[in-house]
Amino acid sequence: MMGPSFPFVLEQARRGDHGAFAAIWRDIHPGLLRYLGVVAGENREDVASEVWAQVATSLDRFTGDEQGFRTWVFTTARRRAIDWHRRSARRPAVYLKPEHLDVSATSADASVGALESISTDAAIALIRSLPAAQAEVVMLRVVAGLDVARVAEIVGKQPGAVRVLAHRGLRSLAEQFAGAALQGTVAQ
Amino acid sequence: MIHDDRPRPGAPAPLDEGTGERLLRGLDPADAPPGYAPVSKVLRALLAPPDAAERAGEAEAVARFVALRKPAGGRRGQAPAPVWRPSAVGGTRPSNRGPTRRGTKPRRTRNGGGRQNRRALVGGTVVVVAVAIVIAAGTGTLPNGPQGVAHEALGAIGVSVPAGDNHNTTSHEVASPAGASGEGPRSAGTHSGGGSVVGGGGSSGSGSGAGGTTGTTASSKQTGTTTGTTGSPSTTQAGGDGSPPIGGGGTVGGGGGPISVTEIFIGPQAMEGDLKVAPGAPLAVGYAVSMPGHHAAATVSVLQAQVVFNATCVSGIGGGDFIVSMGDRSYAIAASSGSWYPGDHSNDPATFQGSSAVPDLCNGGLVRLRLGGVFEAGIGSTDTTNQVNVRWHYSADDNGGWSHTQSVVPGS
Repeated sequence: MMGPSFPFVLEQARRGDHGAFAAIWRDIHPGLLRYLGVVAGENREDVASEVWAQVATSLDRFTGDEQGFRTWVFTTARRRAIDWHRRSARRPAVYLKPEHLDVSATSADASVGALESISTDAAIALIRSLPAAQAEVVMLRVVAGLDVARVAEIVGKQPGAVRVLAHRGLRSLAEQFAGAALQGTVAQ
Repeated sequence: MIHDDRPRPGAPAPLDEGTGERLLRGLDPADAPPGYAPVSKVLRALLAPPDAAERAGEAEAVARFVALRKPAGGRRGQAPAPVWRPSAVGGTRPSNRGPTRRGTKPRRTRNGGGRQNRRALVGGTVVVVAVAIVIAAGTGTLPNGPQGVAHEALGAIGVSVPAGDNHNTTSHEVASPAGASGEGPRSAGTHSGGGSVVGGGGSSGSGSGAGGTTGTTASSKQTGTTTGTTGSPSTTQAGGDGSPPIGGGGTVGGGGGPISVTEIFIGPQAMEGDLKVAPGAPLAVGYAVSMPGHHAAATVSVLQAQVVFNATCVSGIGGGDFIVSMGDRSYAIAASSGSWYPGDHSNDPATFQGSSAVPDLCNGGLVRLRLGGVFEAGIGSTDTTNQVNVRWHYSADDNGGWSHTQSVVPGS
């Protein structure tokens, strides 16, 4: 997040300053790409490219603060991802489950030690293994850094529903890890 | 996909809403409730600094932005922005460990041509000068006469600036920034001199563009307080795909107006020779700045300073890059002072602005820093005409000789 410098940087970008646009891009793009990794899968690069093209052309029409800007960008990304899904009519089918990770511990808590590190790609794949709505909400909360109200605005749900989806997503992930640890116990 | 919410054998403890919220905000795995530490690790992995692939599309995105923002017919619809952006003085960011290329000319902004653009540029320059004067007045760095005029003129519109009868003659360090934002997990790295391991082989750095950092400049002789916001110095990297480096934007002074920030890279350089340190041992890094020759009093800011070390192992395989960060600092430099700030001596503790434990890159074995590191920072100043000298050092034993000195004119 840029914080207090955002209005100035945005204004510079509006004036055509490509350095300012690059600063915005660097701030948002990694998270955007990770979000699209969940909702657009292998098409994420293409969708992101469309999103930034739209941001570039519509920059003058945007009004609001940094959170509002991020909401706008991720809303645009969501719409573009939906368009891609309509075109391809399929969701990426590559999932990674916790059991694919090296969790060879004897209990759920002990598995913590075994899971010393996890790559961002593996983490995205794990989130993608969640039901789509849960996965999307978790990604918007985490990588987009948006609050419940903003996420609700993006996904078109009530804030209460967004909280429940995020909660279920986290719990589901924890249960998957617990199950993987249990399988490890049985295997031993 | 069918989702089953029923508890499974060995299921994690129930999750309350507050804990769930903290998990989403990057709760440390050690603080996670039973069964949720792996979830915490997954969520924190989502917030890891961007890798090279995620940063790779910048040049293309910017090129497309330029193309899309250029109206058809050859006339630009809007006046171009004044070029306040920092330039990539001092070379490009080293992609890995090769010598730093120096003297790279900043890419010029497309300015189109024609009277309209020139007029806009002149207008913008006038605005910059005016803003710079306001900033200088606010910090009390104008000469006595103009400072007094500024005091009265700005006072009339409710802006408090020093009267100008006293100038700062001593350096004061302005620690900035509590609110520096980085790219890592939001709850991580709360120590002042954070170290982080970078995936070996790739170019390192946060890649963060304008991480908003609020810096409050306070002077013992000021009657007012100037608050400035900083856009972080962008990390410029040589395009691994042959694309040109993109000069990133960075400005300081959102509160009173922007001042320029210029990136600087010094190194790689190994002032400590074939230094071998145990994993976990503290490694201190720091820098000093000075303004040679005759110059007005100025405030020099060193933003998002960090050193990227390239480590190998004394024995066995391993090693890689790791970063020691120093955050943002500002130093008030007295008029025509040629002193180094915050200190001249390499063993002065004040000149070590950051430290971090050496990461275990060699399976518990000694980590070798024979290749030294690269110092990176954004240098900003209220004085955009005189050069600022920068040098850096590091030490595992309170010594640490200085690097060579590199000069930069902020905003040039």
